[in-house]
Amino acid sequence: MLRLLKSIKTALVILFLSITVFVAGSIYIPRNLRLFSDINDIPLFRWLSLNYSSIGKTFWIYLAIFLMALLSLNMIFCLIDDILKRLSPGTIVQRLSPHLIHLSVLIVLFGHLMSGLMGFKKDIPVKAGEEFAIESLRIRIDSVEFVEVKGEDQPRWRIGLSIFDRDKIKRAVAEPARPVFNRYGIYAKSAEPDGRVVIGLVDDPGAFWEVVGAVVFVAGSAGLFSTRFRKGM
Amino acid sequence: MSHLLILLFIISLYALSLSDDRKGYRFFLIALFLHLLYLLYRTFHLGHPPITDKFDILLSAGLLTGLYQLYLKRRWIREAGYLYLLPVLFVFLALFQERIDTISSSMNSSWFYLHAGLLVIALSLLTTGSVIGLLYLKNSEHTFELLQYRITLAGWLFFSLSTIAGSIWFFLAQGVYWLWTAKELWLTITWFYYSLYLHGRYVNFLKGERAAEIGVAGVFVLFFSYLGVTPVLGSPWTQF
Repeated sequence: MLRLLKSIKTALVILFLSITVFVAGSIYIPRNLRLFSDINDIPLFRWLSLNYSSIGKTFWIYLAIFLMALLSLNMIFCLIDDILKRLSPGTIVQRLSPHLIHLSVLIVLFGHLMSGLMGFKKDIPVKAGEEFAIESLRIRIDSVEFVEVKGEDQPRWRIGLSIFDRDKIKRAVAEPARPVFNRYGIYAKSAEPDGRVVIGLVDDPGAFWEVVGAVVFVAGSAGLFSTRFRKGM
Repeated sequence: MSHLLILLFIISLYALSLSDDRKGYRFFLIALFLHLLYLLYRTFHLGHPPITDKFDILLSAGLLTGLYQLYLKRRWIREAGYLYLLPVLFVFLALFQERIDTISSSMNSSWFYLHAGLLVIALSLLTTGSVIGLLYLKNSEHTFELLQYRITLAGWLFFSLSTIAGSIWFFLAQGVYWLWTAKELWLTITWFYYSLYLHGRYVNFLKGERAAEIGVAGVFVLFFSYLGVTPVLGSPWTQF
């Protein structure tokens, strides 16, 4: 069993099965758009429990989760096994780089698990001058302005916000792809010239782990490039 | 219409590269120079790097495959053969894409440019790796198979980095870093496919011709993922 878990050949089988399951998913989603319409709006595991009756169309997600869990286990065992085997002198960067890449994949999968289990996402329609509250946070829309930016297909909206967090006040501007972070991610989803806006609130505990995974992957890649490619082919 | 004519002219020059080795190489250099000029024109016209729509991304990736050949021909592959056809493939595919000169506000982000730029490098490296695999299957020269593996590994790393940058950009734009859509699933399938090839090759489960064939076939997964998923499976349209 242990031998099977620490074998790269096991990883090959899991990857092959994952490809098959994901291909099935890529066919099921476009054919059942109504069912999958809100899958990206709520944590995955909650969505799965709400749609348990449609398991005939969502079974592949359960399989994908199972395979990702197996892949994670396989990577953990391979990682430990290889590190123990290679505890010999040599270039540390050369030895560690592939492990960092595998570790980053584990962290990314952990981030997905966090996102799937927890998190909060809500779009709130509100008008300029109005405010709304969430827990102890109050957010007021101070201003909405539009600016023409060269090359962009429509005027860019800038939403001025006052964020009241207990006894602190923070003033900030949210724009498309430039959210404000204050406990929640505060997104400028859309805006109308009459002052109506949609503010997106996001709390995703998995996002932090995704960034950690990204940093570890970049470190691993840099190490791999510097050792494998520096010497030429 | 003028764009079409320019691109057809560039394709013709690349095609003439196949005629004769020394003469062909000159045609190849002229085609590459015109290709570069055209992308410089696009850069000045757009006001940003030409990587914000499929048309420009394919052309940019095609230019990179041409530039790699200058290095590969000098050091590794004397007779480039099929490699000359790579930029032709990219320019040809670009002809069927809509040319879009504007971007949405959410795309105007450094993370998006990083994502698209890395994708261009990944596309060019992964396709170059596949064509070198074809050369190996034709000539059975071991160096080509090793070269295919190394270039594919580099392409896979850039593909992964592009995916990471894309996730960060999308999280900043929409508050999610992953979507359950056919497009995202195929992006993951592509990543799994190349991971399978690289790991299989690493442990010698895949070797020689079998490894080369699986590496070469990756290009079909890659292009289906990039260009085929939306029209075939009906995934939402994306500009880039």
